[in-house]
Amino acid sequence: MATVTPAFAWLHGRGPRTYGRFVAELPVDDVIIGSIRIAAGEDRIEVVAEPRDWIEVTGPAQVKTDGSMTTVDQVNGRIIARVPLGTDVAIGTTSGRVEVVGPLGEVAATTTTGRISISGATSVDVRTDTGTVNVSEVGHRCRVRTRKGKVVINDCGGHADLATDSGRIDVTEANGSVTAHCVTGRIVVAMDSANDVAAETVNGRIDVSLPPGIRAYNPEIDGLQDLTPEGYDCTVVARSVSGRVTVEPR
Amino acid sequence: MSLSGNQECAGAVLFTDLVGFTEYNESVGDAAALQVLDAQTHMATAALKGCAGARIVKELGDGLMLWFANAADAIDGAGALLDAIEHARHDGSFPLAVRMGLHFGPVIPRGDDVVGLTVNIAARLSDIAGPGELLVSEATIAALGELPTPAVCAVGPIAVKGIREPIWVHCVERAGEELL
Repeated sequence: MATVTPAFAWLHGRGPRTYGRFVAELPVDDVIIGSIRIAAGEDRIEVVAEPRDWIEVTGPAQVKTDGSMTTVDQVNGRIIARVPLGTDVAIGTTSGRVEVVGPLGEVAATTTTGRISISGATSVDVRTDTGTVNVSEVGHRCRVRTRKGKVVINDCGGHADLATDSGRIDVTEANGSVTAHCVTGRIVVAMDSANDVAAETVNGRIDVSLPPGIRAYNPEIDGLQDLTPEGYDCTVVARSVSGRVTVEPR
Repeated sequence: MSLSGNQECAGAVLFTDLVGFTEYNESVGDAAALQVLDAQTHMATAALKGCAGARIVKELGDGLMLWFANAADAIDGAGALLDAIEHARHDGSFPLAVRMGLHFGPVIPRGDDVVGLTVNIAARLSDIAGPGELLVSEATIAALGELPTPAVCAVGPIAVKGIREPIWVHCVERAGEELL
């Protein structure tokens, strides 16, 4: 990856270090939408999608770009990255606060104890240890992993793939299929349409509410079949060692 | 590259971890839990066939540490083990999901064990993987060179103690999602 000398930047010290504003001119191409990846520590990061053709990074950071991918390493202090609409974003923080405002492409975010907020993405992959995560307006797949943290997802348009050890995951307005797994934690899903559900817990609790009037097919009760039989709206598979799984119409 | 003596060499370390094993053990008792561990080891041994130089380094409670001589075998072997466990879960013969983390890098053999930052990174990847997932480091994908790379999606950077630079992580996409 080549280091691009930024325009309109104030350079201090050696290497590709920017204290000020970094602007990466991307190729003007309607097909290619670049991506940005950011490694942060304890300070605040904001990623904002705007109708523009270039990526602009403001704040103390090491920035490199090869034209299609921009990599940002936070030094210390708050960073704001303004990116074109639909950009793919991968961002990680240890304990800092991350705010991502779309509409963006594929958004992947990791944190240990920090707080992440994502609004407006094609798909989301979020992982936290004990941090708090809020996600809204995901067009397609939403994948969530949390050990002990709390995750809230509003409006997931595609498959929701949820897993926690002892934390809590709440999904409102789920419009795709759901896969939920928890050890001792809790997962609560409110589905807005009839889609397949696979839920498994060791001794935690999973509650899935279906829209009124939905007929859910349960292979363990209704007989094993490969596809949802006629007359049923979706298939529900639930498994628990000593926990509790409920899947019921509202 | 094979392990020999105390010479540093490059290879891939895979960690597996059974999700919820402790709670499962409390619910079903030691005898049933031991059967699960034996089944995991049996499936891992089968998955290593065809991977020259690969072996189970050690058993770590409810997980395994495995060594592969190259990244291609590591991804294939890890995928084969994951598929075997997921298939067994689907037909009801295996009760728990497994999570996996894989990293390619330098290690130092120490008797039958291997040590080094590569081991720490692989273990950290396993920590953040979800049930039924294989997470790999970007270095592992880069180690494939000209060989075909698996379909992956970005997970993001993680910090690993003792390593200044973040480790960029990817999730290996599996063909089709199966219901339990």
